[in-house]
Amino acid sequence: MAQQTFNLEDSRHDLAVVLSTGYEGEVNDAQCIFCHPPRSHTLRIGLWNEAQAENLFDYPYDRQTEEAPPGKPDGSSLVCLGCHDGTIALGDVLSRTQSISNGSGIKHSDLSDGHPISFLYDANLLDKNDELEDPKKLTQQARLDTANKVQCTSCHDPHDDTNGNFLVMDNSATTLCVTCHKKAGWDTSSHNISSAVWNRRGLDPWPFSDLRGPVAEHGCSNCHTPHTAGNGKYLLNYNIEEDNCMACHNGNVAASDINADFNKISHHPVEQTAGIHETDEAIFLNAADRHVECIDCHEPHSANAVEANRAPVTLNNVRGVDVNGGEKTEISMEFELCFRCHGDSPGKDAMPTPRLHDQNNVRLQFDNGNPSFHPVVGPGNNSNVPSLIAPLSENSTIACSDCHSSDADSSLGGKGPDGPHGSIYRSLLIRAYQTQDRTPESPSAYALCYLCHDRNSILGDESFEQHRLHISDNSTPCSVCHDPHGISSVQGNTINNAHLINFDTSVVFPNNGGDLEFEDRGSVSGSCSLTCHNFEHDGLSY
Amino acid sequence: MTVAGQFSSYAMRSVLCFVVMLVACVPVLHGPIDQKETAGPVWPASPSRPRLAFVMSFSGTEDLGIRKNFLQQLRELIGGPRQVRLVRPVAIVESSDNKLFIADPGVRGVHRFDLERGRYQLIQGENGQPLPSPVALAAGLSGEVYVTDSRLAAVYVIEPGKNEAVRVPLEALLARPTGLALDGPSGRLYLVDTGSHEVKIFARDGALLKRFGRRGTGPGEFNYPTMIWMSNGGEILVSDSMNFRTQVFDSAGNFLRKFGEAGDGAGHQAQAKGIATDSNGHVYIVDSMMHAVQIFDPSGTFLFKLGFRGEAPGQFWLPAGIFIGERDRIYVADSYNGRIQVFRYVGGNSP
Repeated sequence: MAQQTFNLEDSRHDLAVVLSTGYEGEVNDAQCIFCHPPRSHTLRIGLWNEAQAENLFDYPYDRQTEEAPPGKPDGSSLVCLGCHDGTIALGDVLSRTQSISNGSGIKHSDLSDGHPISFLYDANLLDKNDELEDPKKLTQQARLDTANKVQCTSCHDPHDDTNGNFLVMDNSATTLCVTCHKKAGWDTSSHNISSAVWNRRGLDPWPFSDLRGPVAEHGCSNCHTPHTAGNGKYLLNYNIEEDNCMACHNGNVAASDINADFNKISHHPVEQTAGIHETDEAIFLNAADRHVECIDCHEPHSANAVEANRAPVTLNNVRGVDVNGGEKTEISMEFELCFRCHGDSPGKDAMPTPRLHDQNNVRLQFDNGNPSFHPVVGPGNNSNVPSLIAPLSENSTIACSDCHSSDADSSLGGKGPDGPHGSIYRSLLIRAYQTQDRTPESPSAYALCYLCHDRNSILGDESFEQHRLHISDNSTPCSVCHDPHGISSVQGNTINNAHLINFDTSVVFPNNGGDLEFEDRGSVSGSCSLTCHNFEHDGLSY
Repeated sequence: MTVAGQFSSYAMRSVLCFVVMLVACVPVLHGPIDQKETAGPVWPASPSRPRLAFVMSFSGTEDLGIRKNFLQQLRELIGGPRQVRLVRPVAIVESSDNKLFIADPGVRGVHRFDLERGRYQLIQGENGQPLPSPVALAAGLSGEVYVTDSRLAAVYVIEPGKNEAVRVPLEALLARPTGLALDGPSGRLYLVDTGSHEVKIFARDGALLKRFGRRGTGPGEFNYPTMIWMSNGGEILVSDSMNFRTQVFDSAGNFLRKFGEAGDGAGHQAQAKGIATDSNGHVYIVDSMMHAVQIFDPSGTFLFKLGFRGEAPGQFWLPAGIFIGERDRIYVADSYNGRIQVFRYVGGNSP
């Protein structure tokens, strides 16, 4: 260590009993010997060693060029850990069991409860993690040791406590961290630049920090901590993934109370799993690893306020699946994010309503080659939808979150938060959508449908001359005849499954002839063969 | 460890063995450890007379032949095979009922290995609260084991048959408690408080009986004392770490003698931690900066330095605690090698 500054006196690293004042001219040896033992000038041979064969001198703290086995501290860090072991100084600095730079790659390494040390920071490491600064550019205070390894001394200067915690530089806004860590999108991320402050309600969002300024001041330490992390894998403050987000996104720092939405009856179940998510996990997980965490939809290092206001909503730097089922490293359409878990991935629940053609792969349901589909991946194929409320038209497209979002979504006049975090309506719907048979018709029973489809038009029988009879007079929900997502071309056809017709088989049964089908006969014309509400439809046409 | 208590229980068991013949006694007691005592290297190297023999090292349940119980097997069916591994062991003790306890901040708890019954248990605080910084252990006469947590600044007791460590109510404020020794018969706890540079003596009921030492360099004064040991003769040995010396007191805390000086060479003390004595009174001092165990005679004359930084038998990586049990079994908590190394003193009675 060749630090120039020595400012030990009265710092916590001044362990001398007699403080240095009065030691003029002695370079304060008394302060040094705790980490730099004085050289033993006499060769001392123990009495048990009858043959004086070996040189018994050992200078362990000077050796830093050799390669330590994986996971073991070496170099000057050995001196630090000698005291920071929970006795002379509190430990909690390192207890990992694997190397950061071994063959399995950086992202799966267990960092246990502390930032790794004693690893080579070289081109090989950059190959495994492209979000690190080129070590050749590390010319600032944060430095590698002579063997090009990160050591305790990369972040801490044990001789100078000017910056607090013996840091090598001022770390407000975690400028020390970003010396090495170059996360995509960080410069414009709200987590880096937001001026939001804690409103002093609820739990302290930053219990591991002395800082009390805005989010921008905390930077990386909004979520991460270099020592004694709650989650070893990513050095997160808390072991439970969503706890790291909810500390601020509970209305007390960030404006929206996302946490409240996750307490609603229908929500993405982030609380059901812990410790499964990996940043580099496969695009389709096997059923046993199925999970959802905040970070499956949001990339926290590049998340910002702009993305949430984009329409259609797309999030920065998150992975998804395109209309053909292929992986996208960064989504460009919202549905691509939803398709990842609700499309081809295994282990999905069945849809809540049993149908003639059951399908729980929403990518297949929305395919624009289908006989009918809601216009999510592209405009629909029905050129005559008289109920549509302007400015919607037959050429419009909608997003998943137009139907699946918080009941408090601001697009409908609520106070937010927007998006499909949670809703008081089941299936994470933005408005009520009754599917129980014999539901009396009302604006609220089918509020979801009536957002786009004018109730007066529907009940005025503009598109189907028996709508009022079915919905109002006979209290039949929309969902008994219509399958809201769409009918895959794999299962249905344009004759029997136009107009999103795919019957609820808990309500609609075959007729006496064994038939259960709708038949499209062109514009506002068709026929039904089925039994419903004990009423025989034997090719009833309109 | 104890002292007179250790001594008497050893004596009693020896008598028992003699009565019922040797057959059953030796293999049962620490079978996996005692059966291996002949293999492995010895120190010092030839032609010097061997004093220390390597017995074994272990890093987890498999090394100790501990089979999995039904519940563990069931868990592995679901979650895949898992063996219990030591992460960063810093202290070890044999309990009077023949279990091994290992303090491991890496798992935020204490490992308990029951070698006789092949059982394992991770022990944490009440209701599964982690022990973030367990640094020292001491065993009582009834199978109970005490553990110091320096971060929680408290001493906990693990009663036999119990799976959690319960806080011991001590009548004193503790700054940063670390080293712990126990006088078995009296139940007195000798607790080093590194943060206040003193040793506190507590009665079995937690009453503070005495405190000795203060910050300084004079006899009986300390600068960051850490580990403590009570010898068979009832002497209290303290690693006065940042004074680079060992101090010896009588059981009442009266200063008797000191030895050691700063330096990086063998026989000096750079960073003294764990300390223990064998049945001959040899003093074993773990030096974490030297990655070694150094051995002195009772007066402080340097006898031998075992080890340097490495992973082979007899080498260490920031070793921390030491414990010497019956039959001079020497356990060293080899922290960053994630293992316990076991040696035996084989040098006889000569000095």
